[in-house]
Amino acid sequence: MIQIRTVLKVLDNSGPKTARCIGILGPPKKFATVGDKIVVTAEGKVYHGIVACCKVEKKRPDGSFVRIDQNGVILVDSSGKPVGNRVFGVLSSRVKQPEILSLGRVKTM
Amino acid sequence: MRLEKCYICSSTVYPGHGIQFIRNDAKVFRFCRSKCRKTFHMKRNPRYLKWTKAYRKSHGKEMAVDSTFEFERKRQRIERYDRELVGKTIQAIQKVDAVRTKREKEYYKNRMKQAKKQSQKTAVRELEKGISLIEPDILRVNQAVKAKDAVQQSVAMLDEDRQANDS
Repeated sequence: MIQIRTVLKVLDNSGPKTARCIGILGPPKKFATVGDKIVVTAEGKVYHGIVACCKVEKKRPDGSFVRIDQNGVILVDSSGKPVGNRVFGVLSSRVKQPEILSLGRVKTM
Repeated sequence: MRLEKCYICSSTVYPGHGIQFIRNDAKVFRFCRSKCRKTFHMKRNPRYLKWTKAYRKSHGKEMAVDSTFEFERKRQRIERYDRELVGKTIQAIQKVDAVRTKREKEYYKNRMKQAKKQSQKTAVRELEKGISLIEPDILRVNQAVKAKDAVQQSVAMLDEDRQANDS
């Protein structure tokens, strides 16, 4: 449940440690969850970002619920390429899907 | 389908039940119900909660070390399907389960034997400690018994005298 003004932790080495959500991209909705694209502001600059993990539990297709203890974002540019070259922390398999985030040469944990 | 164990109470977590929590260092915790999840988030140790399996095992209430526990192990490599092997495994599971339940029963019996002795010991100790509290009561009861006996004796003697006079 990421909404406008939510402060998220930046999970890559692009520079800023935290980022504030200022908009949700895609079809209009109030809350963004894991895998959604959002607009964030960090250290006076505007970036696009992909929500990597979310505190509110998410239901999986098999009926189980998964919850993570932080709200995290990965910063990308407007074309969808990651800004940093290294990603820390837990990434759900949904974020790693190529249509959501093409990590390419970016190293993950 | 994999049946997981709850992190707190070690009960089986069936698919579609409970909740998974993933910590920042990517360690996965599974909980069977909200009770277990809440105790985890309150940072309680399952070893010190009396209702968990971990407590019962670490405090010697249940069998903790046994060769039958070593059959159950998580396998990383998936075994190729073989109908005969599956049949054999299912039979073996039943056998191992029967042996385990038997051993668990024996363990419980042995534990209860000691428990009975212990409870008797503690009862005796308590009685010795608090004998002064119930002493006056005992004396009073003894006096009452003595008085009753004396009355009965005197009545019997009177009866005998009456019979002697009559004859």
